Amino acid sequence: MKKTSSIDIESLFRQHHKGLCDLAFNIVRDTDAAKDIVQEVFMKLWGNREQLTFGDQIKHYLFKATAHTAYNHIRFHKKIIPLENLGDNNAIQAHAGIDGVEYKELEVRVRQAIDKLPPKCKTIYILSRHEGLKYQEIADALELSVKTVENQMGIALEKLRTELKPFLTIEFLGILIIIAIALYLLMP
Amino acid sequence: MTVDNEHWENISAYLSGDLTTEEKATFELWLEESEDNRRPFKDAQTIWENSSVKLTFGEAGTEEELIRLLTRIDNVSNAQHKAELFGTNFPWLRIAASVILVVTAGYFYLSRKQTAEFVVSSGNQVATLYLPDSSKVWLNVNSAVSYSKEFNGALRNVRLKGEGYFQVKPDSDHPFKVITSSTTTVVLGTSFNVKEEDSLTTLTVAEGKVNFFPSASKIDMSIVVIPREKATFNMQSKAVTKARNNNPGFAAWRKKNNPEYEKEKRNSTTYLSTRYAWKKNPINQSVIDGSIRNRASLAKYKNIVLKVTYAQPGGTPKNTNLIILGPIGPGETLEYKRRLLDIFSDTTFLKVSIASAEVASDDEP
Repeated sequence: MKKTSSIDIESLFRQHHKGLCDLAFNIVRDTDAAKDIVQEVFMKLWGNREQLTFGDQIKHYLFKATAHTAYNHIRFHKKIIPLENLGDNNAIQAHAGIDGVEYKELEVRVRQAIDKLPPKCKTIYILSRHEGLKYQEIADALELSVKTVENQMGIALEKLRTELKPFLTIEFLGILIIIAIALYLLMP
Repeated sequence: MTVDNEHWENISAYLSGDLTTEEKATFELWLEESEDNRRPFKDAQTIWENSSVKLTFGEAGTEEELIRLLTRIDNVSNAQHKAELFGTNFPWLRIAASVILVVTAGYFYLSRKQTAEFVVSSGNQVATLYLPDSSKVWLNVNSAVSYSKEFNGALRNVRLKGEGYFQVKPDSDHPFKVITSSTTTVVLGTSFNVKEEDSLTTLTVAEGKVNFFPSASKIDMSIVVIPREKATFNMQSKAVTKARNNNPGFAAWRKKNNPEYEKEKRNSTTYLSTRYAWKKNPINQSVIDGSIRNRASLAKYKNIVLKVTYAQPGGTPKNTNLIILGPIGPGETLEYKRRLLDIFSDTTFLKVSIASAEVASDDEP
């Protein structure tokens, strides 16, 4: 069984700190809390250094531990996030997509709506959609049953749809308009 | 338009790729059944496709956080290590003085006699030294202490000429004896002062319980002296008397003619250190939770000034001073909690350091 020396903790920390902070931040929406969560995860890692074997598995361990700790945090800390904060471009890392004001707007709206979901729902949705975890992996990370994960994912989309109804209609119209204009311009 | 829970679960599992091939086929059949099924699915699909906004925060402060983590790990392993060292063997640790395992200083010389004894004499300055068992001794001017090579074995005997203040490391198995020309003082681990001047030898106790008796008599004729008491042996009358100690400054001589103490007075920042943590409170003030440790042997400090440097991302660092009144005695730790007036600032960096301190003039040892 390989033991971690203090050097290993340091390089692991440097390697994964930013990514884990982002994950935690995405869930808890509080920079200080996110940093604290990652600290806790590494303290626990250090505490368990005798029992753990390392290798590629360490990344999964850290990831799961961060998700779990972040989940516990939002369960027990009620916080209201001002909607204005979400429009802040510093915080948004958008994926490549079709450029168009309507799309970006919708993406921001969706992200706002995700924050309104209850803690369990939100965490599960984020792990699935952002991190690409399978239901079984999510269940392992959060110590829930797969049935619960299935159920919560259904609830997430249902709630999101209710929340985002008005914007979906506009967005459809938007696509239609863009397509119409594009076709018009392309016409010889 | 209404779709039940089971179907929402299917919709989400389909979109996330968590359906088996058979389940997918069943689902696609369900979609074909009616527009009422397809509409919510399309909405969900749109939402799913537009949920990729992943929030990150710009400056994670990895290096700083790493230092924070390593400091915490240090604290935890020191505490564990101390627990192992001092576990159940030294129940008097609290009663006796602090445990200092550092190099000595002071003006003294060592000489070896034929009986293989070590002698330490002070000259015209107060000398500070450590015995082989880490007990600490202050010698007043023109005094001397001697001990043999066997000191750290079964017996902890020292001979004293003149005046000395002893801070004895606890060891219940090995009594510590200070022998003057006429008296013997026995302790297990305490702090006390012994002074032999002319025909009077005086013992004054700072901490713990001490046995005192004339060397010529047997030990069970000893008297026990406790803090705030003193015992005096008169060589001429051969009488031992015990009295209340009305002079709290009985060990004040340690601060006179003592170059070590002069150093502690001049360089307060060398002997003070602070550990701290900070975070924002619900009304966005930075709250600093810390402790100050005084590692001087004699100096007591007061009015400690802490310099706080803090900054927000992209901003210029600001400085402010905090004053901790104290006083902090030698070897003591003082906790503090302070709030900054940075409500409108998104402080992400904060550093506390000791700027200065005054020496408290107090003659208590």
